[in-house]
Amino acid sequence: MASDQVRESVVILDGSEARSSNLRDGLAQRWVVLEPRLDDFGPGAEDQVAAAVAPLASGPYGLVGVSAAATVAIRHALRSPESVAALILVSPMAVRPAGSPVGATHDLEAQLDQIQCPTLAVFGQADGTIDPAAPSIYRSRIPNCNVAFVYDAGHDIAAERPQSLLNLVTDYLERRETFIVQSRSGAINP
Amino acid sequence: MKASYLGAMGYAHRRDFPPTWPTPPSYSDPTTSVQSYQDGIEECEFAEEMGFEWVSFSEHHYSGRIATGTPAVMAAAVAERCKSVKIAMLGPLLPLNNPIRAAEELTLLDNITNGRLVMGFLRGTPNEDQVYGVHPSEGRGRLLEGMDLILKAMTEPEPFSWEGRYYQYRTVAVWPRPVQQPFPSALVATRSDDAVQYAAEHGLGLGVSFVPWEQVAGITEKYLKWCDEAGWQPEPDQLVFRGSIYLAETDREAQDWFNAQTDQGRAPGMALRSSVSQVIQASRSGQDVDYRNVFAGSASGDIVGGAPGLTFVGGPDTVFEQIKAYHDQCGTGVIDLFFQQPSLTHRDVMAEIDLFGREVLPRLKEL
Repeated sequence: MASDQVRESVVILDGSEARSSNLRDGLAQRWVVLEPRLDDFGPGAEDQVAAAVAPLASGPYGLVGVSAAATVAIRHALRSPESVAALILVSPMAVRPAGSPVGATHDLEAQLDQIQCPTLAVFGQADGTIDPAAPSIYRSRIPNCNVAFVYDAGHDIAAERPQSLLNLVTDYLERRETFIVQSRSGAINP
Repeated sequence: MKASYLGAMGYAHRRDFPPTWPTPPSYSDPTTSVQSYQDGIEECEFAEEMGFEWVSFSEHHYSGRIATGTPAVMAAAVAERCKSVKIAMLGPLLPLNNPIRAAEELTLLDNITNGRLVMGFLRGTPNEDQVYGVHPSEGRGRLLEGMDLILKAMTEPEPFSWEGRYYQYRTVAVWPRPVQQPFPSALVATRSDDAVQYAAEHGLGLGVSFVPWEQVAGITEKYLKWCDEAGWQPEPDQLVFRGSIYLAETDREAQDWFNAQTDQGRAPGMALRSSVSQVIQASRSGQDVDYRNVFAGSASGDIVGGAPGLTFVGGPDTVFEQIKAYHDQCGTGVIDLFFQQPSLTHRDVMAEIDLFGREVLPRLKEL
C-alpha cells in the first residue's frame, strides 16, 4: 500500500463526527481522511476549513459535506476551486425551493452554477426534512452534477444505510461522473 | 360500482392442458394461438360495448391459461381497439421485473391511452418466482423497493441514480412523463399487512383477489384505518376486487356446469408440484427445507394448493347479490372479473359477457 505522503486526501465536513464514523473508517482504507472541526456552518466557516486542510492535504482533495455542513462544503468549493477535486453533498440543505418552509439561503442557490468540480448530491429517498423539489435544483444548476437517492434512508443516511453510502461515495471519489458506467462484470460463468 | 373485464387471452384449447405448471410450449399451436388472441381482443371490445369500464391485464408466465407474460404488449394492442375503457395493468409482477422497464412501459401506456392507465403492483403467485430466477425470499423486499423506485422514476424531473437494497441504477430518466400527474392511478394488489400499509401511506388504492368477502372486509378495514391515519380517504375506484365468475341464465344451469367441472376433476387454474410448492413457500418465509422429506411426485405432478375456486357462480340475480356483498361489506368499487374458465369456448365467454352486460351490470352501476 502506498504511504500517506502520496495518498490523496478526502475531507469530511459534518457537524456530527459520530454520524460519519463508518464513512470515515471506510474511506480511510483508501484515502487520507481529514475532518476539520467546524464551530458553525455560517458564512466564514469555509475559511476555517481552508486553513485547517491546507497544511495537511497532499493536493486537490475530495470534499464530502453532510447535512448542514454541506453548505460549508459548497462555499469552500466556490472559494477554493483549485483545491477541490470532487464535491459530494450528503443530505444537503443548501437550497430552498419556492414555497419550502425551511432551508438555507437563496444566495447560495444562485451560485451553484459556479461550482467547477464534479459533484454528487446524495439524498435519502425517504428524507422528510428536505423538500422533494430540492434534488433537481442541484442537478440542474451545478454544471457537472449527479443526484443519487439511497433507498430506505431518511436524512441520516450514514446511520440508516451505512454500507450503501460508503460504496456510493467511494465509487464516486474513484471514478467521478463516470461512476454511472457499470464497472463489474455480469458474467456468471465466464 | 364498476366492472372490469380481465383480458386473460387464454389459449383456446386450454382445457386440454396438463394440470401442473408450467404448460409445455409443445401445447401451443401457432394457428390456434393467433386465433386465441384475436378472440380475446374481441371479448375485450365486446365487454366495453356492454358497459364494462375497465379492461385489465395480468402478468402470468409459462401457461396458456392467462397467456399474457408481457401484459404491456397485450394492453397496448387492446388499447388501440378499446377507446374508452380504463386500461388496468393489474399488473406487472415487480419482484420479477426491472422496475425501470416497468416504469417505462407504464408511462408509455399512459401516453398512448391518453391517461386511461390504471397500474397495479403485486408480488405474484409462488410459481412466478421461478420465471426470472428471483429468490423467493426477496419478493417482498423487491416489491416494496420496486414501487418506491417506479414512483420516483415517474415524478423526478431530473436524471438521478438509485442506490437500493436490490436495485442499483446510476442513470434513471424515464420517458415519456405520464399523462396523469404526478403519476397514473395506482393500487397495490396484496393481502399482506406491510404492502397494505404501504398503499395507505402512499395514497394508493388496494386490490384483493380470489378470497371471500369476509376476508376482504378484514383487509379493507385495516387499509381504511391506515388511510385515515395518513390523512386521506380512498375513492371507490381505489378499492378493487378480482374474482372468477361463471354466469348462466339460471342458478340451476350454473350449478350443473360447476358440478360437471368437479366431476371431471378440472382445477380452475394452475397448480404446482408439491415439492416445488414446499420449497418456494419455505423460501418465501425464510425457512430451511429438508429435501430428504420432499418428493418429486408422479410424472404428471401431484397437485397441491391448486388455484382459487370460483368466486361468483349462478344466474344473474345470484351473481349480482354475490358481487353486491363485496360492495356493501368491503366498499369494493371496481369488480375485476375472470370469465375464461378452462372449459369454456370463446363463444361461451361472449355469451356470458352479453348476459352480464344485460342482466347484472346495470344493477351494479346503481350501487
